[in-house]
Amino acid sequence: MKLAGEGAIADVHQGSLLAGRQHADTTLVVDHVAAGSQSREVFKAVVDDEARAVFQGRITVQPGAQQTDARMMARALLLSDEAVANCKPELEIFADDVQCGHGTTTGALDDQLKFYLMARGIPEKEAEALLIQAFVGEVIDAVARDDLREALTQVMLNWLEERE
Amino acid sequence: MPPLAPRSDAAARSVAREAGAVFAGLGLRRLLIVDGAFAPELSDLAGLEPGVVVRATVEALGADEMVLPLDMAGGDPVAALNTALAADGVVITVAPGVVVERPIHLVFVTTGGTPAATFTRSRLELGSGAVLTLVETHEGPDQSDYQINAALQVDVGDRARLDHVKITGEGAAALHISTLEASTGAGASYRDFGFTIGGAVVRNQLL
Repeated sequence: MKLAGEGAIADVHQGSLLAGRQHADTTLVVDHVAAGSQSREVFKAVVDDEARAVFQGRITVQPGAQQTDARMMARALLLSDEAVANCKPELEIFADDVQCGHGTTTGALDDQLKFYLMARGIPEKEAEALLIQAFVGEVIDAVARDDLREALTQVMLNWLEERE
Repeated sequence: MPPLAPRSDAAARSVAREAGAVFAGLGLRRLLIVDGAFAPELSDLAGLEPGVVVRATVEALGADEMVLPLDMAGGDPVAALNTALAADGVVITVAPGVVVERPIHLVFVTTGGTPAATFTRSRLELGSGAVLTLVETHEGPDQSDYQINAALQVDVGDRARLDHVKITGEGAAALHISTLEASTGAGASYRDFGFTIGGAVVRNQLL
């Protein structure tokens, strides 16, 4: 993805819902070529069973791309002991007046949050579904149109229902 | 010039009509790519907004246009394989300043149980100041270990705005590899959302 013109904005949100023995790989390169461009990349994976999610993302800031503002974050939620996530965000910066950040986290569902919901009478699977929904909801919220966002939310809910 | 990809038969057409159901009822303009070939007879091409042109990739190739540049994605092997084998796809152009209210939905569907490898190449050009929402869905049967290699080149002009939503919802045994190559002009805005839920092995490249 090449931000070739000055002041261009790119916003990339990706979500993966994986189960069984699925393998899903996302490879992302954001190339800031012109000055004053901005990019945001958020990758979220929910990985169940023996599935594997892979994210390799790179932000490149070319010498002429001063005042670049770029951030990349990859988060994975592992729902089983056999699930695997490989996340590799990278920064490659050749300009000296930029703001760039990147990060990655991988973890399981928060037991305390789950306990909080279950203590209020919510069954375990439903409590998990609520937490997963909150995790994935952040990337779906990036979709501008209400009708598309609702349809995508339904896709997520269907996946959660199948899981149960 | 005759199309390079095979025409879809009656059974395939009936499967294709049901595809992309995730966004049914939202009034999106559906353009169907069935087993790798653009199917205008199944697509909603009536009342295209002035300044919007939709063509099959084979048609653009027939007009000697460079829709399949050899150096797509800097010589990436997956994109190179796509360049070598792409049979069809869709080429969409939106004239400068045109604001397209109705989103375009590219419905990529694989029909039938015979495993096959399908290569599509599509292209979207947004003129300066143009605005478009492009939705893409990919799906196919669970029982077949078919393979998809889909490439899309996007050129977002100066101050243009593109919202792109893609769902990779292939069948349970399918292999799906896609390459998106995007370039934005000055002051342009490009928002991309991707959801991977289906397919046995999936690789989405955004380069």
